[in-house]
Amino acid sequence: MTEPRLQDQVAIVTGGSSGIGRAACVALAEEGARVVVVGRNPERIEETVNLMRARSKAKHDSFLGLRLDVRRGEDMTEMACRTLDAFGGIDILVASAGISLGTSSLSGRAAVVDLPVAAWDEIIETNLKGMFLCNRAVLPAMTARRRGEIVNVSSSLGTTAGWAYASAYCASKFGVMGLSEALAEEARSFGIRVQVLVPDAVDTPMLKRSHLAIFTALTPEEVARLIVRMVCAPEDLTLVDPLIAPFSEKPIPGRRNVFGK
Amino acid sequence: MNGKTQAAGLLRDQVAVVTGGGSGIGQATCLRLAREGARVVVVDLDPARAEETLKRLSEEGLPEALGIGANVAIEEDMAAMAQRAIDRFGRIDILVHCAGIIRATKGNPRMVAEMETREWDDVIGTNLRGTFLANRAVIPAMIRQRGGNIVNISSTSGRQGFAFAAAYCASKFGVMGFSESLAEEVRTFGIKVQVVCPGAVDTPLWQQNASISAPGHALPPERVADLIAYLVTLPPDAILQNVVIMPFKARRWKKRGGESPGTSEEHGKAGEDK
Repeated sequence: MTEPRLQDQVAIVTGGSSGIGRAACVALAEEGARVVVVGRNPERIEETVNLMRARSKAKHDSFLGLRLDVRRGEDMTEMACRTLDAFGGIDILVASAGISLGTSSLSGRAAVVDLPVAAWDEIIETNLKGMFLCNRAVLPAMTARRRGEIVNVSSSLGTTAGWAYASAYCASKFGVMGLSEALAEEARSFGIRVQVLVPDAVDTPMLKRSHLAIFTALTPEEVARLIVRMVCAPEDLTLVDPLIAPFSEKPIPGRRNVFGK
Repeated sequence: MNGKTQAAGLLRDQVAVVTGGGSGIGQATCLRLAREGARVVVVDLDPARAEETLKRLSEEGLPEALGIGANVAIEEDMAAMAQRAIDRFGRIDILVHCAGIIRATKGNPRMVAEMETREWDDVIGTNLRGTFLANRAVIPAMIRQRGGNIVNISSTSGRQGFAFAAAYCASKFGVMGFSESLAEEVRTFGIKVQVVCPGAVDTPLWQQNASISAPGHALPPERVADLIAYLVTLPPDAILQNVVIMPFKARRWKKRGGESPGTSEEHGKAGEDK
């Protein structure tokens, strides 16, 4: 094992209770970081914390689980405050909280003409407003120390053309790109690097719930490896919207081509 | 391709052809891939520069390498290059195509209205035709092997046009289109085609600009070489698409075109993206 690259750095991961977020928590912990897992489901938060304890050599008090909602400004303020109380700083934010569908009764997978406003609101509030709120919450601590690493998780549906029946999701993820680019420009002079990760299909609970006919998907662990790479990159560079996608020898039927920027 | 994760030697026994390997990103890539255990074929227009890279490889005690003086814009040169690589090492697993120019002779950036046809042909010939010829030359071996890894170097100028760099931008956009088409064609053979778009990198390419030098924040070429090493060591089921690497301190990059109020001196002139 090589030297851990993030020894004692403090990382917050929203959406850390499953999928890419959970894999990111484990990968950051393996690099020695102290990790704050933010999610809505306490059992799954605990599972992530237990996974990190199993996979890293860190002391048990290196991890903190917080049951908070990225859609609520006061929750995100609490996230920053409790992190500072526990660990004294915030070095890294991985903003991974996101949904592709609303709660089942409000399903967001619908033609625009049939899309309930409540489903639209739920997706935009979680994916876009939630991204704004969690980013904003960590900025004062990062600005004060003149450094910070933010990785916002977008989607290949946030950079190329929109996808039919996923209007709210596409709108939210395009919004994430705009928000992140604006923030990157604002925060750069404070030594805060804002990068956006653009995953294509990833084998997560979110993908499974979407019931799409996608047969090839990346592992969350591979995506997490790229997140760690972005966070640990030398400070003179930035990766602009890296799009990580499954590679298959067989073309995938029914899947939109994600090339063609 | 690879799969084992050891601290070193991720590319042990693989054969990597690197065009433009005598300087800049290409030279850094030769060293980086060789440190992962690859046997490197260093291709450069100038045999002396290829020799220089070989010297640096052997100084580090890296695996045996082959130097080839060849022009990527000449069909016979590229065919001979692939043949010599196979004669020497028996296979070609990786092509990193770095050979590229801003303009053929040292000069000032020019408006399209004043650009000589010769300059256009030189830039398109080396950057775009050279990409075609180098890629085409290695693909038969990769198809026989049912696997391979190609990384073509485009540029931020391959995603957005800049004034006074029309030929360069056209060539680098062309590299994007070519690479996407090729990726679709050869995927069924297990061959990956990935593209890297660097922003300003501190390389001798800048010397082709008479009036503009590299910005102070230009990245060392080793940064791009590290990224290339990551691309060619990804697990078999993952690829990275059109990744852009640029200096943290660079000003806004108008990747979707159109006027941007924050745009600065930085991208206003030819070649300033490299």
